[in-house]
Amino acid sequence: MGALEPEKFARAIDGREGLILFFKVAGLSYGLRLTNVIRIDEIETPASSITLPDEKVIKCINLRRFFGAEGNGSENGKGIVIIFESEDGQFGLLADAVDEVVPALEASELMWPPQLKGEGAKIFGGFFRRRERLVPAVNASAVREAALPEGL
Amino acid sequence: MQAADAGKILLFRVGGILHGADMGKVIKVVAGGNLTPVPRTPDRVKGVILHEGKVVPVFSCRKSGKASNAENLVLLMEHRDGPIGLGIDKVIGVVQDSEIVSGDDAVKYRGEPVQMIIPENLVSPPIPDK
Repeated sequence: MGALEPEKFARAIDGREGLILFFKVAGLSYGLRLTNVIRIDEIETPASSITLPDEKVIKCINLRRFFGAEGNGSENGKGIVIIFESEDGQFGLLADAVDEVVPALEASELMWPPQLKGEGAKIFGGFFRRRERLVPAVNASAVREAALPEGL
Repeated sequence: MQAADAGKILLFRVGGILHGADMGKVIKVVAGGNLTPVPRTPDRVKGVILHEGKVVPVFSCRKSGKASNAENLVLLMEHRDGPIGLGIDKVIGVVQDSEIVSGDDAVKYRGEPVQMIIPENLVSPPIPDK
């Protein structure tokens, strides 16, 4: 597991309160605020758990499977893991690749539409508006809550 | 909604089937190219689009299977919670509601069955009879 573009992410993590990470899963873009993200690493093979540099083993949720997409990883087989710190400990979200990291000012956040019911309303807090397109805003804690009982 | 739209029906096709919607509920028809799919939503949800600064959910009225990508237009309609979209293939035209007649088992336009679309039923489909 190797750190991903260290200069870029060191800068991102330092000021993470005001930054949004956009990433790809199965060809589609998703976003999340870098709040509570402690690191982002490149991985060779998606797995249900990874070992951190301090030897701590954490559980990971494969977003491809969670979102119902086909395949188990990106086209080149590699992926990324986004590692979060939460009250219940650390966990990771497995995605295909980083798209970009931008200041929150460059991507306004829009509310989830009340006309759209169902589980998605918990998983996505809303949408980021980026270059006149909508990008689902992932609520990492809600993903963890929904996915771990499903064994994803 | 314009007063002049009262009593008119927009006719359109989805998967070859003729559908109708009350023009009083129709906002506009737009290209669906900027649709964003949203996982973990019901199969009838195609995704969302941005319309006048708001997130608008787009539904499919196909009877079975995951929403199709063939529906390249979005019919925007009024719903009590805000605008909603319906993926459609082609607009046929606008007719007077008196031209839509009740048949034995379906409403028809010039002898062809018409599936009438009610926005509330797209968001919360009625429970089918057992």
